[in-house]
Amino acid sequence: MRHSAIARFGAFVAGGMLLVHCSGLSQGGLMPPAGTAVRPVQPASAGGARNGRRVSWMTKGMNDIDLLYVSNANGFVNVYRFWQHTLVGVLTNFTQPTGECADAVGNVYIVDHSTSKIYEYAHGGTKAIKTLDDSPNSPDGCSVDHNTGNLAVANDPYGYYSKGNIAIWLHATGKPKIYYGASYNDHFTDCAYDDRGDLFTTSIYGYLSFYTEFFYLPRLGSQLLLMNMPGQQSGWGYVQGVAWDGKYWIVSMDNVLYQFTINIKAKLIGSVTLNGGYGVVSQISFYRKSLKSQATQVLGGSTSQGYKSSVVEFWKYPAGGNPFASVTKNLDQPFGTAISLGAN
Amino acid sequence: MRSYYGFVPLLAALCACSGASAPPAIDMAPQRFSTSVAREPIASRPDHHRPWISPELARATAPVLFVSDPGTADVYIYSLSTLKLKGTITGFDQPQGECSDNKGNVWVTDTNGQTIYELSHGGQLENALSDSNGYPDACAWDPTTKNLAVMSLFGVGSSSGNVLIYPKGSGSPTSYANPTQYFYNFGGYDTAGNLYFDGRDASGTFMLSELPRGANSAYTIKLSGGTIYFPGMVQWDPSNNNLIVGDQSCANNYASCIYQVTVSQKTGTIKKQIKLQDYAGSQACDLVQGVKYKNQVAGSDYDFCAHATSATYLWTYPTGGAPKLYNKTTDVTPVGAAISI
Repeated sequence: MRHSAIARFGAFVAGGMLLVHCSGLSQGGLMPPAGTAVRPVQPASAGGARNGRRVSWMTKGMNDIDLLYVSNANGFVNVYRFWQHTLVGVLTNFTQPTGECADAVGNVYIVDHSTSKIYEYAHGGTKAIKTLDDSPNSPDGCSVDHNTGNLAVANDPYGYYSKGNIAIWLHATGKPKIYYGASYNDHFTDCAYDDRGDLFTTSIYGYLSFYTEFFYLPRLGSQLLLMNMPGQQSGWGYVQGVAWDGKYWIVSMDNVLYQFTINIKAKLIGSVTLNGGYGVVSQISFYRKSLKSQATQVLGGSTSQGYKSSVVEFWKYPAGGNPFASVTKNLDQPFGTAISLGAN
Repeated sequence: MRSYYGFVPLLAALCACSGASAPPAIDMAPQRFSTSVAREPIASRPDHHRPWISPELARATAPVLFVSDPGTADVYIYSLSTLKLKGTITGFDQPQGECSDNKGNVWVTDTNGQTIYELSHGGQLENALSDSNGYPDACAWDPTTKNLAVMSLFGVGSSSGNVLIYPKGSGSPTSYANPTQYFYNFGGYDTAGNLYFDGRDASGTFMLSELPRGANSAYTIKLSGGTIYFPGMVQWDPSNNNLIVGDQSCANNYASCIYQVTVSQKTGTIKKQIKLQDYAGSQACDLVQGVKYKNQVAGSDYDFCAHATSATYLWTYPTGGAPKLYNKTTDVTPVGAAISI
């Protein structure tokens, strides 16, 4: 996502010159600083070309094991034992895998930005059990409503002036219903369901400068509601994603998770700082013991300046602070993450 | 229009040209172009209180009373049986008229916000509809079609109001109007799907209209047997087969009462007047919207008359008179009422 929309926004601005001179993610209306927050602009075929030399594999006996899926810029999706942080599989069927999400039974959806495809994998499986066509859109993030099985996808179109959308597949099948935002060039970058079935999304839009906005779709709603999110007096900078922690809505910006409630209006409750890594945590995932409890762990990937080093880190939640564990091997600019709970 | 409850200046010319005289005892002019539906316009002073919902409410299925307060920009949720406060929903711009649907959800019109919110029995946002061309001030739920009718007090640019019907409470609405009505206030469906709504013409005179089921436009119901001065609640009472219509200026005074009105064709007959008292023994100052439930009427008295303080009440229906229960601890400038069962 960040490698797509942000790069396109940046490329539009004076051949990138302005991008180089802009800085300050915390200031709305500014471009993100080059090379810090976002994945590199990777040729769409790069991952696919590498993938051609490998096939998907998975250690046997994973049915009862909690798994962590991590998408990489090289086109691979790594699969780890969630509690041991050890690599147990690699999925290779992608060109540009970005966002990931898991449903109530542990199936994992992986969106492939370049090919407009959304793949569903069974927990621990190596072959997609279903493929959804998101064309002509370019998906970035996804979320599954655990009550209905509906799948929401945030679409971030190519083209500065193109208008993205939120696509929702009822029961994750058939053709999606499309929801649009308020701006002429919304680029939706992430979305998240809560336990009731309300959907929270974020997008970027603008001309020359970019702005972040948020939308809310109540569970019976038929239109996206533009939602003013307090807490940033100068406006929101580049937001890495949105999530639901079991109690609060989360806006993730740089290495801070902002907690909100939403009912008519949004209300800022607090924030959690995630230290370590390289300062900017990509799409996060929460671990929750049950669907009725608040998360106890949060994880996310980050990449160094110059993209030479990558890491996926684990923090206690809502404590935050320093990570208690990390993974550094077999990663290439990790972006999307999803936790798929085992059968037991 | 989002930050103040102003009067719409463009209609000044219309006021000057109308030529109609105001009712004799009370000057109606100040109310004409305010987005407030109260007899005395309510200014917004949001209290910025924290929203809260009692755990008991989240679990309970007993009937609750939603009261909108545009002055504080809050919606209060009371236990209907005790009138104890069970929650406060904040964040509205100007919450006014309310209605409930067959799911037990309550729709709250946010007039200056030009939005209609659907809240669950427990006070959670379920849906939101926009009315970008007008100022929604009341609503009614059709039990026969499950459509939602929204009354827009008047339109953006000072045009006349209308009724918007959202199919199944969703999507894009269809607009309906009575050509002779200018301001659209409260409404209610009968059991056959006919919609009744009150309001005023361009000169400020009370009107009652009907949009028959399936019709393309509404017409005026000519009233006899009395005079209603300022539009209040409209609700169909199936047990008595008549309308209950509120008057915020009962007998053209600063007082409220409600009427039983029978309807036949395009004629309405006022059969009975029911006076309601506040806890201090005075006639209720301003019951903007009440709601009948079984043998009682629930609603709040916006007491700008200073007889008492604003409070939420339960009165016996159709007896009226002294309240059987009240709570004076919360309301500041209450307007709308709906019951979620």
